[in-house]
Amino acid sequence: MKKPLIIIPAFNEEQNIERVVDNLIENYSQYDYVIINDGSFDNTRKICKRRGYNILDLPVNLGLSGAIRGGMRYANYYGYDYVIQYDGDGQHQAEYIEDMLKAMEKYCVDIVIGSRFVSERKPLNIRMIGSQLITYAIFITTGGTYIGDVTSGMRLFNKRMIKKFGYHINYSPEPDTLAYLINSGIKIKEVQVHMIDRMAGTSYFSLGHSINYMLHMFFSIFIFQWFRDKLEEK
Amino acid sequence: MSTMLRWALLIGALATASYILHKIKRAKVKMEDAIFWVTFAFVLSILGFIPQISYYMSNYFGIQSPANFVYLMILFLLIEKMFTMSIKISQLEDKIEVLTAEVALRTHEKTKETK
Repeated sequence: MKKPLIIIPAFNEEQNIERVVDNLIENYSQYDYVIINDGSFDNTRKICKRRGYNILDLPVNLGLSGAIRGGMRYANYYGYDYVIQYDGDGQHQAEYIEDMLKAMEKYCVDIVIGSRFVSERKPLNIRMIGSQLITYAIFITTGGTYIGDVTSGMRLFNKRMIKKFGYHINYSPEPDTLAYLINSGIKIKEVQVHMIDRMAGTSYFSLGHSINYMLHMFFSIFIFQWFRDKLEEK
Repeated sequence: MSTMLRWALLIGALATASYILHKIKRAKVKMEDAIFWVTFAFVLSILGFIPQISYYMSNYFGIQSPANFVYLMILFLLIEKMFTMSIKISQLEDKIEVLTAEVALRTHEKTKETK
């Protein structure tokens, strides 16, 4: 069986990328990895070339969903069975990937979410209130599926999902897609992981995007998902 | 406001909403781009259902007839859409330029290596 593939979307991560990737290469050689440089305008690309990292270099900035799409297509092209989405900023801990892979086998699910809030409580701040609202929206529209950490960037996908996320429109790696997939009969499981706060650089999402983001999520969870065709296998 | 105009608004709203939702069903449009049109249809239907809004607003702004307020509202929404689309198009053009230049640069790099 082929190794699981870790895809690392990176946008202006010159301060973090070396630490993250070196850790994977030294301590987690049981996984393959690919960095998806999402049109960074800092030294991310140069560092990756200099260190000889495996990099998929997007010439223009596409945003997270485009970067993930690139990674999924890479995974499909080279015939990987499992993909782990993993942040380039050092938030995620690779030790939990094994737990996630085991959970996928054990519960026969298509997506495993590395969640901060399975056995731990959500802290109370603006960001997490937004997250909880989306959690409730998914809970209501899916008839009672509770996903604690909807915005977690650490996810494990199986082959079926790789094809969907890589080749179909409206499969962004966002919570609205999770709601739609659950209603299409896809099984999703959360596994408790620990994340550390980012050490350097700025996050993918700025606060300015947040309102737009919430609006988009609510429209698509409450309205649009009912009009989408239920998961056709092609 | 005439009954005909109210009907026209409601039919327009229904047509807009069903067309864009049909596009979502056929996987032909990104959902974020449909938000505007659903909102647009919603505003049209509100104006059609509750003409009192147009009466009140035209009075408030000193517009001659309520129908004119309806036109103004539609104009306003469409101009806003055109504005954001214009910005989007110029960003896309910029991206195409960069993309083309990068593809050319990278194929050049490759042919140099193989020589």
